[in-house]
Formats: sequence, structure tokens, C-alpha cells
Amino acid sequence: MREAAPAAEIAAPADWPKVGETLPRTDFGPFGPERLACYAKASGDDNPLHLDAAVAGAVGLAAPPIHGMLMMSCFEPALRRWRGDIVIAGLSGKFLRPIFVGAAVSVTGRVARASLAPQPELLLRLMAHGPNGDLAILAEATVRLSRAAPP
Amino acid sequence: MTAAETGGAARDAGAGASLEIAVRTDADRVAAFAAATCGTEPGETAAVPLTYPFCWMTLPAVRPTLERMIGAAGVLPIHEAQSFDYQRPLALDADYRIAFTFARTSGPERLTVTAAISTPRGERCATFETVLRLVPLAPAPGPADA
Repeated sequence: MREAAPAAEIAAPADWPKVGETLPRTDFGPFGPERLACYAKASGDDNPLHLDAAVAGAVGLAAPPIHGMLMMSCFEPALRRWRGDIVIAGLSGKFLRPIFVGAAVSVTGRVARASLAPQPELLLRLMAHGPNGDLAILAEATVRLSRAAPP
Repeated sequence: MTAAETGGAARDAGAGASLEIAVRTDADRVAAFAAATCGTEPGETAAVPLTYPFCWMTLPAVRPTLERMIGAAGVLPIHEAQSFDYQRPLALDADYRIAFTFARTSGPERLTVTAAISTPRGERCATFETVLRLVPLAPAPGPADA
């Protein structure tokens, strides 16, 4: 969440999303070996599963998978591109299928619940897909209207 | 690791352990993380990315406890699930405390890491939970398998 002040009543803008509204698809990547190595260095997640084809093969994978957290990190910029007036209070996800090095990732979603009181809030169902529509992450985010948003 | 990202002795309790350390949202490191994830340019990072605190799980002060809780060599952690809940945002170039709890469960083998992030004054900022499935690596082929 991007603000610390206690909750106060704020009105939702006229275009506040409704249940069923979809988020535009946002594409990220492709995530080649150099990109995975860069993420491993920046995050400290140097699990060889993501960097070494032999290790990936030892657990039955055809190639190193993209870090789950690298894909999960795509949700926040996707949400910010969708709406600039929200703060993200929560994000949770399950990693369902590996997406292999070299692939791109697409983020999609829809509004599962929308409430206006005590403050405008949305529950979003989010998905990260790999090639051929493979579902890599099934996630939920709770977002609220930012009090810093213009009226 | 910055000078602040130190301290804290791990406490073991059966199939679990706990650890609390000081951390910092160093702007350069946050920018490098944002560039590696979102492709942002240096200087564009105005806030700490939501997923950034995950990085603190691999700090040198934490990694020995994490590796001990994962267990023997030949076991590979596979990320199964992850969640973040924020009560307040993390500021750039600010000091925090993070308290980790590690819990092993079996059937199948998993390690669940929970972390609570607070200001040095004890104000809660965020929590996260990481669930790792622990998968045995396939044994290397022996002479008879060659």
C-alpha cells in the first residue's frame, strides 16, 4: 500500500471499475538467460534451478524456469498502467506452471469484487500467462483508491 | 549487504526457527531490483516495489538459516506460493526491522517462511509469506546407468 494515513471516507471516481471489468493485457519480457541472471543478482535469488539447465533437468524440467518472483513482480507495473489512482494493499499468488527461459509473460485480470465503503476497494483476480496461454501464476490483489488521487 | 543489514541470531525450535535483523531500502539496490523486474531506467524508481522485501530472505545474515531449514544437499526449493500484505508503504533509503519465522512441514515436504516488517520504532509496515516445496534432486547416473 502506498500511503500511511488512516482510512477516511473518500468518494470513488465516476470511472471506478465494476465487477467483471477486465484489465488490459500487459506483456513483459521476453526473459532470456541474461535477464534471469540480472534478476538473480538484483534479488539474491540465485537458485541454480533458474540458471543451470542441468539442475532444471534433474527435477524433470526441459529448461530453466523463469523465477516465479520475477513473473509476480510484473503484476504491480501492470496494475499501475491500468489505473494510476490505486494503492496495492495485498498481493498473493500460486505458482502453477513453470514458464521457461526465453519466454514472454502476459498479465491479465478482472475485477472480482468492488466496494465503495468504507473506502473504494477492489479485489482483482490476476493471471500471468506464458506462451500458448499456459497459466503460470493465479493471483489476487486488493487495491484501494489512493487518497492522493485527483477528485 | 549494507552495514544495517546485520545482526540477529537465529533461534531453532524443533522444525522451526526464527530470526530478526535490521534491513534498509537502499535506493541503489531498489533501483537495480526495479530495473531487473520492470525494466525501469535508473532514476525512475520513485517507490519500493511491492515484491522487493522478498530479497531480504537471501541476505547473508538470513541465508544460513534458510539453507539449514531447507535441509540436506540434494534438495531443491521450488516456489509454490507467495503473498504480501501492506499496512503502510516502505520508503526509499529507510531503515526497517524484519522478523522471519521458518516452519517445516511434511507430506509433502515444505518450508514456509513468514516475515513481518516494521519500522525501528515498532510500527508494522508489511508481512509476507513464502511457501517452498522441497523436491529431492534426481540422483546422478551411476556407472551401471551410463
